[in-house]
Amino acid sequence: MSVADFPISVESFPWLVLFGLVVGGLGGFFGVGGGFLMVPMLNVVFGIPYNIAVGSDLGQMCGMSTAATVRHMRFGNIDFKLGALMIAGTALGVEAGATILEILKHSGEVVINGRPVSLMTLVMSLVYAALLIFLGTAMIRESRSTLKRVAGKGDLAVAEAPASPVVLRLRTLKLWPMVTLPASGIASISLWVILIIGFLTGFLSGMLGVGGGFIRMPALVYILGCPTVVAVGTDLFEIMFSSGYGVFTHALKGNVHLVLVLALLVGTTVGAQIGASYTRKAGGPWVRFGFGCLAFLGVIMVAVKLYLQVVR
Amino acid sequence: MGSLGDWLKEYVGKRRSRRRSVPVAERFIQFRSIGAANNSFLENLAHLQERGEVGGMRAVVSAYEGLAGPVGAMVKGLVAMTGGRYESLVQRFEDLDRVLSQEVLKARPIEFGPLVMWPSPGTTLHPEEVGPKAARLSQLLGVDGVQVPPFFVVTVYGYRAFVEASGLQDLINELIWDSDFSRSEAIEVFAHEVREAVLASEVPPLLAAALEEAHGRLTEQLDSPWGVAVRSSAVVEDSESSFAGQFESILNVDRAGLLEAYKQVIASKYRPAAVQYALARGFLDQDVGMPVLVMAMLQPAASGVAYSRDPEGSPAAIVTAVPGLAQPLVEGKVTPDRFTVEARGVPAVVGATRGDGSLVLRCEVGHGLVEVPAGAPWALATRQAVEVARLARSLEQHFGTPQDVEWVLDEQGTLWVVQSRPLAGTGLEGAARDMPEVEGYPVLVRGGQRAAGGVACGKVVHWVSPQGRALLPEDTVLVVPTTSPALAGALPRLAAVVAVAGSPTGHMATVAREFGVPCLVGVTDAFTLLPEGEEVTVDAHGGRVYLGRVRELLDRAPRTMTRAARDPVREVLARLVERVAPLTLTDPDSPDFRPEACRTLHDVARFVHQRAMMEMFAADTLSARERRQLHRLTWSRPMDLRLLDLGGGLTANAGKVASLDQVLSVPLLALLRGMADERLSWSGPVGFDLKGFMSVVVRSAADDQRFGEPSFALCARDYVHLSSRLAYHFATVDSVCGKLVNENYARLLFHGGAAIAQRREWRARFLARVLHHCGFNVSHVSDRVEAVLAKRPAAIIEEALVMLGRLMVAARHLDMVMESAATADAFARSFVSGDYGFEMMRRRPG
Repeated sequence: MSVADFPISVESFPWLVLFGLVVGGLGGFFGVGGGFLMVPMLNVVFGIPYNIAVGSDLGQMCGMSTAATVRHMRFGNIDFKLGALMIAGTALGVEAGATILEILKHSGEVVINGRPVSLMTLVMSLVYAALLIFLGTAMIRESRSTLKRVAGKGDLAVAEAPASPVVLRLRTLKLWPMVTLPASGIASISLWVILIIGFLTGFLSGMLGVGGGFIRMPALVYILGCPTVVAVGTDLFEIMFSSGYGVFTHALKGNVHLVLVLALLVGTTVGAQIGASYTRKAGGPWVRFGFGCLAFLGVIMVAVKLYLQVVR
Repeated sequence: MGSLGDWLKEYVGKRRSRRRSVPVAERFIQFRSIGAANNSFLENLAHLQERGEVGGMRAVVSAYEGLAGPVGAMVKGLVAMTGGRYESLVQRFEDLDRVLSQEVLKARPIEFGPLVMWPSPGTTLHPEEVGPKAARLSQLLGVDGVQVPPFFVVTVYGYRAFVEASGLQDLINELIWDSDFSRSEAIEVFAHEVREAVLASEVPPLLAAALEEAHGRLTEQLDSPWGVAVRSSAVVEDSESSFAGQFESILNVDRAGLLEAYKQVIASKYRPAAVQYALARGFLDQDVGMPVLVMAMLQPAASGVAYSRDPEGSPAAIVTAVPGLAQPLVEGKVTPDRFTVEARGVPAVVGATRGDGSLVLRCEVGHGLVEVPAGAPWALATRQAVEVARLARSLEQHFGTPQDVEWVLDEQGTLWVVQSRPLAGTGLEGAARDMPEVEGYPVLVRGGQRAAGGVACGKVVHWVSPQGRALLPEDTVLVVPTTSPALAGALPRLAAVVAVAGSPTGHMATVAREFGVPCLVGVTDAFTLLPEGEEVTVDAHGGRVYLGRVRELLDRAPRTMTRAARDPVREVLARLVERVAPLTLTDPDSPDFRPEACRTLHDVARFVHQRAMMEMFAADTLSARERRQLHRLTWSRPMDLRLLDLGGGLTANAGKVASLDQVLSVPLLALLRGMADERLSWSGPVGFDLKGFMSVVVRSAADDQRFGEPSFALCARDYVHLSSRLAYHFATVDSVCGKLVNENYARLLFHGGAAIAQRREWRARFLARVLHHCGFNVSHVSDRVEAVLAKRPAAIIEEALVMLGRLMVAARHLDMVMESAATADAFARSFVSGDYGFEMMRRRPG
């Protein structure tokens, strides 16, 4: 199913803008998390196939991040060397992700309960459901523990909890070749670390249409040890390239619907501003709690859609 | 989830209360002026509390202005700063201010009422409006067997109209406030100036018209050849005080002299003796209103004063009388005839002494008084004396207390009451009365007449003229020619008074009893019997004066009713301090920390100051306009810092991009100095924790979009507010670092983080340890640390800011490596020892 097979009617355009507004608003409110809802909801609400949803979402993201990156570039907060090295890994990851999606797209249908279901829809629904369940659970747990502690009900007395058993010291990985990142003030780090981070985030981008920043940014700070400012700039730079490359490769595969991209771009740009202005007033734990609930709502919607397809 | 509902409620509440968002720069201006006002409030308060010298009332009022002014400005500032929140605080402050300025400082708003009032039977005039003298007389109208001459009263409103329209009140206030009444010269000067001013000023036309109209009505119904008597009827809040004879009475005044007489009576409020007396009794000028009584004049055959019972204790009534007008009697210029009338059973004169009858005054036809030769042997016949005593008794019954009655017997034989007031100093003595003569001491005087009982010892001083009155030492036995009311002011400081002439029913005797100063009158040769400088003991009960200190008497008869002279200004000051200074709002976290709970001005100031600091501390949102005014700091560290100059924080030539040497803000420079410390490491991983990392990933998927935003600092010459987002936590530093030590503080709020909650808590523990070590006042709940260092000199605050700068950088990723509370403590030790990069910790194996 390529873009040509899926015309978007003029009538649905305003609805898509509105949808973009809502998702953009959620994105603005919940931060990066809003993006997780974009692709599955495009599928559930508008019936847009996952491959087109992913491709077009990346298009929208590419537009958004380019503007932000240009802004950051002026301030010189980007470690271009690190960015360039990482792009190699990212591009590979995006390609891998997009390829898997492409394979799913062409692998036809399976029959469940006597009804044919597209394998891509099945797999992507399940992957997204799993992702949303994981994120939702984690966020609700996180927010609840934070709230409990703030309210003073936490078990502060048990201060001597055992140290976390898994302490990766990637920094000590001395695998050749080692590189120096002067802009980030990093004397020596294995190139492989950079590539792995790039690949992982790229893969998520290519297959799921998310920015991957939620992994890359902490990784830049906590694994590589970039100063925060540099991490932010480089992350944006990276999103621009991963989404850019993603759009490119998905476009080649016929997965980018320009009208859809346009509609989403308009909606999210406005929505994000509105959403963001409300976040600060709500406070972190509650935002996470809210997102957790929303994630589960998304899971239910995905499940219902799948169920209806199978049963009817 | 119940807490979700709570959150919603709180959220909605917050939105509703945020009426108008005030730009940060404006908030800052208010914040600074609140700080400055708070400082002057505290300084003025300290000044007031430590002050030994009270000075005049002006000093007290201006001291109050120095307190209420700044606090009022603070309240206004907070309201402006918060866009209209805290309206209830305005209300609270106004209430407090009203109470203080009205109840304590007696700055009452002007009330309005009739300028002139007439008494009528069945209704009584109110003492607050017409003065107690007129009010009591009005009560006697229509009482059987009591005759009161017709009169009207120029009310206290009339008095105020006079002193205000003529600008007198302002002048008087000026003078009162500038005078230090603990020095008697000041009283003389004050009294003189005010009297001059009163006599020189015009009675306002409205009042003059009212007075003359009333005068016309009064004289119309009289049809007598005599004029009117213009007498004071001063309003004092403490009706225990007699003010006997302190104010002038102008007798036999015709229409032409009416306004002048009125002014003279008002001016008599400022006779030095009256002022001194008022101050001694604790009155300020505002306490004494001056209604004036205008009464039909009578031509007396005799007149005088009657006590319904002997103030020295015996139940007999005492009648003193002089031929003609009573003025020489009450002023102590003559010794009157004195009758003791036994009132029990059939009244009868049981004792009579002959006065000197040397000065007899009568009314002149038209106006004025004339002195006539003394004639008749006794002023009163026995029958008449009994009649006067009976009148005094009936007045006592009417009012329910022993009375001091001024009476007039006219030429037609009618007995009039011209004044009746409670008898001062009755029933309070009696323990040491009629003591036998003490052996072993030379007795200098015998047979003096007791005007005020008691025993006292002191050095003799001869009183010749009013000059040098200020120099009278304490414990003076003053020898005077007559018992002049002019002495009233000096009385409280005297040990005793011995008068050559005078009457026990004179005004000075009344005042002497009030203050418990023993007083003998009728000691004819007092000036020769009592040589100046001699130490003598006056036994007013026994009518004797001994040479030397008679212990036997003094021990047995302590002064029974000494009412120490009070210092009214000091008392006002004490009441003021009591309602301004205590601090009852101490804990900002308590639910009672709210406007309604402010009980003193100090509370209000504290509340505003704390809230203003918190408002600034929460200054995290910049308006679009302010965002455009941000300067980007270029410096050697990888931290994107935007600066908003609130005044003097940057040099004038700082552009969109500012360099470090364009920063002028002292506290910001201190922070940056700390952050730029060579020993700190800005890059490189500090450690890695998978769980923590996943936590970061989850958290960055929602809500932490502010991560990586540029940090911004609001700065002024001596202020900084830095919101930093160096990693997944919020850190805010807010500091004032200037000349006013009281205003200086450095505050840090640090919360959040990337790692799991437990590790964030350990980092908070690390922070708390370090901050505590550096002298901060630290509160630490969960991963949240709040630390304050306040009221320190600028140098110490600066040092603390350097340390905070280091700490913010050093701690930024520490949550990832905190493995236990022990790690936190080890890191804290390392930091405190100056190892800001934790080199020691890094080298640790594992």
